Amino acid sequence: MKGQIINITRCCTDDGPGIRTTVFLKGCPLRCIWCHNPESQNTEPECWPSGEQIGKTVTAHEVVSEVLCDKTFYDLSGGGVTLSGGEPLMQAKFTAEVLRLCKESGGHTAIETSGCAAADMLGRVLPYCDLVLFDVKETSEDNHLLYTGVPLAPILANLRAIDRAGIPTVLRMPIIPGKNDRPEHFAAVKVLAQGLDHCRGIEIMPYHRLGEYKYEQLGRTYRCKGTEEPTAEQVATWKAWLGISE
Amino acid sequence: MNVQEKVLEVLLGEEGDLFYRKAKALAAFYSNCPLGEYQGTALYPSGRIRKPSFITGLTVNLNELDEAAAQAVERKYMRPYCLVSGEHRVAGGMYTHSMPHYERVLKEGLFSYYARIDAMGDPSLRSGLRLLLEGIETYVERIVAYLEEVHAEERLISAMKQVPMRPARTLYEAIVAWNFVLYLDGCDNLGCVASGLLPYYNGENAVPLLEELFANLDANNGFSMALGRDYNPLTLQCLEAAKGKRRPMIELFVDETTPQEIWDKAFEIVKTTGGQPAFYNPKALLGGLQRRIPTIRDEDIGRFCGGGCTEAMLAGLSNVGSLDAGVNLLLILERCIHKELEYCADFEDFYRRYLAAVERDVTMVTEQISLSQITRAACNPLPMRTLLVDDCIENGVEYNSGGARYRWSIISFAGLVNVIDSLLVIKDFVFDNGRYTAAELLEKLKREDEAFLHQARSCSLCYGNDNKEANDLSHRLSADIFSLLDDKKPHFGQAFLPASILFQYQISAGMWVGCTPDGRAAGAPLADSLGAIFGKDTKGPTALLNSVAALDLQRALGVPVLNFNVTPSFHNDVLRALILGYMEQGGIQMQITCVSRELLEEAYRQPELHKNLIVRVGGYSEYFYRLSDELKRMVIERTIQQGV
Repeated sequence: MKGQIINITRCCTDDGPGIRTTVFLKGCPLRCIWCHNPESQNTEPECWPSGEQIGKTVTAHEVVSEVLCDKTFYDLSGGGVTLSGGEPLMQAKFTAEVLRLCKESGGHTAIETSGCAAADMLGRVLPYCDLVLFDVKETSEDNHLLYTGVPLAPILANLRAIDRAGIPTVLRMPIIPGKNDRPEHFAAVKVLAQGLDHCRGIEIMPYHRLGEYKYEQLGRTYRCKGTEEPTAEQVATWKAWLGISE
Repeated sequence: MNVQEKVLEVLLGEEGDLFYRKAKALAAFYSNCPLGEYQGTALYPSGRIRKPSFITGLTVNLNELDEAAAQAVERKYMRPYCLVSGEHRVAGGMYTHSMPHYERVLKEGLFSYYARIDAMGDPSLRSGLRLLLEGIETYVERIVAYLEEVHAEERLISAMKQVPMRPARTLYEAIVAWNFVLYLDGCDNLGCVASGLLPYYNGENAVPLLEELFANLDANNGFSMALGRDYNPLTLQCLEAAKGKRRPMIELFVDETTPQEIWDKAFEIVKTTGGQPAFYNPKALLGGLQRRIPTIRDEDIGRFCGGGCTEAMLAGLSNVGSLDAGVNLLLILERCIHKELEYCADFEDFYRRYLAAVERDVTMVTEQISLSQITRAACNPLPMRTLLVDDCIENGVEYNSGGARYRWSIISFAGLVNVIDSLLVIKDFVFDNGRYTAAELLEKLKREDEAFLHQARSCSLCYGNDNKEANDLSHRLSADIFSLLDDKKPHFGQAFLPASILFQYQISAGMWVGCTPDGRAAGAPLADSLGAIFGKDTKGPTALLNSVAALDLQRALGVPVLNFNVTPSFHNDVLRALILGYMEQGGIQMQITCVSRELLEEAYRQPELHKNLIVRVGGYSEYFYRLSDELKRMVIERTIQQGV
């Protein structure tokens, strides 16, 4: 079983519990205007103008063998592997195989997803997931389509399917000033979380400009150009809206 | 006649043998030395003192003598006994830290030592130690009289009437005695304070007293203290008292059963006091020592305390050569490259030739150490350590002549990581991929070719990234080198123990060595610990720790120092998992510096604003502002693991 990945990052501590290895898969059906990883959007490996090769084809076993190098640290911290991207559900068979092999070895498994996938693709992956980090980019139908290029409804349907399967979720909100930092959006996500039986919390991912230079290198237009990174006070306010303590 | 003259009269006299004269001179010193001014402290002596040199055991400061007297003392006593080759003295040559048996003094009182001494067979040792003990008794009496004269705190006066000559009855008396013995031994190491004081503990808050004790050690540039796995309320108090302190360097033993409150306090200190505490693996280190030296008794192994930087010792029971030698592995490699690389058929051939060269030097160094020990026993007997380290009195043997219960010699291997990376580059560039011939590589090293060095530094096959091929070579090389000491014994010892302790000599040792294939420029420093060459470990902390754990650490019981540098953004539970994960794979010691590069840079530019910033160097902790410019740059350039 082969798949396309961008890279494997070890000792991540923000993509689920404990010490984790995050595998970044290549390919994403969304085109979020603030995306800071434009190199993750196309499925196939590509070459940056700088000559750097982005993405490589690897087998599930190759990925798992690197992931398991840190098994000792996962066991001690309650950590494991997180498949992120890109969109891991775009390579659902590969994702499922990597997660299955990791689970067989006793590690905690998670995916970070936009939720944008066909129901049967999601269904392949869920049996091997201990946790889903579910990105909620927008709660307004119109804005979702505008900012990400895809409709909201199928995504929310998938979120409910995950919940029905009894898998814990954490809702993650990328917040971009001037785009989705509306109080109504926060309130809507709160309601969404309350409607789930297995939601473990909401996290805010404040906008940053670290990806801006990549657009320049790729010769593409960055549609969030000029957007300022939020201040610590702004982030604190957002958290307060959600009732998250500092 | 002043104290100096009285001491000189004894030293330069002809009465008795050398041991006797030195013991008598020490007694003359303690009977006549000026007493430091009482500053209202709870402990006495306190602060920095002019002390008898604890290494030579002499009681005079040669710098204060007129030339003729200094020459006379030197002729008689200062016979050089370190015969270890200069190039293999990285971080030390026959340098011996020590720690006395504090607990015995607390429990039995020094008066009881007279009976032990009187049972000794050797008349010179017996009469010498008796004189020394009488000198100490006089010293204590002089202190009591002085403290009464200056109306010192009553509890201090009454404590000094009790200890150290009689057994301690309270925690306060125990700490007063501990402090006094620390000064007797020249303020070198504190040993196992928390467990040693426990029998006297009755629920008191001892933190202020411990702070004073630690400040006295620090004022005299003393070193270490161990906090063993037998945690008790004083463990936490010791940690609290050490917060923000450069010294003692704390050696905290941890495993999966360590209580959360110990972890919490330890990390509080890690994040506020750079480089403190260091973490030790009880199973690997203590179990390993007992396997290596089976005569170590179960009741003694818990007395582990690394002396000096962190050289493996058993407090109050051992005479450890620390560091007897530091073999410069990179220097040997450089010679081997220049002499032999061109004639090697393949990598295996070169590897074998290098190992043979290391073996030749290690054999030479171990023989030099044994000869040095024999010379030292003859020319530098140490009465104070003979008195205060078990079982010198019971064995009736002087400390440097093999009297201590446990005796081993520590040999540090410097530049191991540089050698691993160099071998990987040679394997890759010359033998596997044929990018360069041996002659071309040699030429580039000789010319210090910057383009080549850049290529070598960028070689993806390197130590620190958990690469299997690199890990395999690391294990093989370290096992091959460390095991060279397996079947060797020093003249006065039970074993040679390999270590990796550089102190601050990574810089001077590097000056001996030209350009090397790991991409290191001529004269540049060696790696400062078993961590990767700065900047080469790009896969994060777990990959680095797996790489270090791939080394044959179970043999390096001397101990193997790992500098681990992290940003303060790491959560405590992640740090805990990193420490325990490393240890589960055999890691023995980890010293964490938790400071951001920005702060280090700022402290470099504005030292006056960061006088409290402490960092770990090659095994010891130090105020950053006190480091030499080269050491400062080295600390700044280290890879600092980010909390991702």
